Amino acid sequence: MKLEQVTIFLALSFLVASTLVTAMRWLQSALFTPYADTSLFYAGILLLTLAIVFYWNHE
Amino acid sequence: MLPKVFAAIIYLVAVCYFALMIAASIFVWSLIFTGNVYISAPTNIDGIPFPQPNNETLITENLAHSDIVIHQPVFAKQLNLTVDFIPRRTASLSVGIRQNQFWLSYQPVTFYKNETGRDITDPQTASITIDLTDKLAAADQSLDLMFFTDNNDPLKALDENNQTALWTLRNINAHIKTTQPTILPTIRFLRGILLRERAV
Repeated sequence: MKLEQVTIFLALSFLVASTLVTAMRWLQSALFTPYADTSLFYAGILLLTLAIVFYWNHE
Repeated sequence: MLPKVFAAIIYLVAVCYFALMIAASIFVWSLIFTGNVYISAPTNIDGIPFPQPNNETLITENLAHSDIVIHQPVFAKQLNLTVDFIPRRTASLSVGIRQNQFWLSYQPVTFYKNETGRDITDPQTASITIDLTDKLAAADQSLDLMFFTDNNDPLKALDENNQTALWTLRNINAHIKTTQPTILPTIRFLRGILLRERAV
């Protein structure tokens, strides 16, 4: 598996996790710390950017 | 064509599974935190602070409220309170953590009793342990704590014609520990999530 594929996999996982945590915070906000969902979202976006950079360099 | 669709489905399932693991690990990580937590200065039920002569709080009403900011979920947690106080002529002192959406839903734990009626001016220290699993946390992961003076019944303590409280809170320390939750509080905790109970 190439580095960009792994990074895309991680990025998608972080973005899905961000959605999950947002949904759980909507259901019961005291389950997760207030910044858990936004932190995961930003981590996902960062990984996605890295994946694009890796893909660009690979090409 | 079919193997590609199958591979895509497997990929999406793997992404979702990994995402679930990330979310679960964040929740589990938050469960293992212990230590001292911030507790706000007591106010009356209208949010007006009590007088603080000499850095001590003079409680003059039967109900005294504080916020405890725990920054973690209440599940599998226990609160240890250490209260340093001068009881004066109070007959009893109790403390409780809010349990559900009703603003006065407390099950107070009595930590001081004086049946002699004498004026006790010596400082006293009490330690109270309260399980938090079935308690209501606000959106900012804070808990409502209430002191009850002379009455263990929240509704009777609320009686405006019977505000006899006069005691001094010298210091209060709140410490969070992990504990193994029992079945009933766990059911209440899960029910709170499903019913979307929130502090108002």
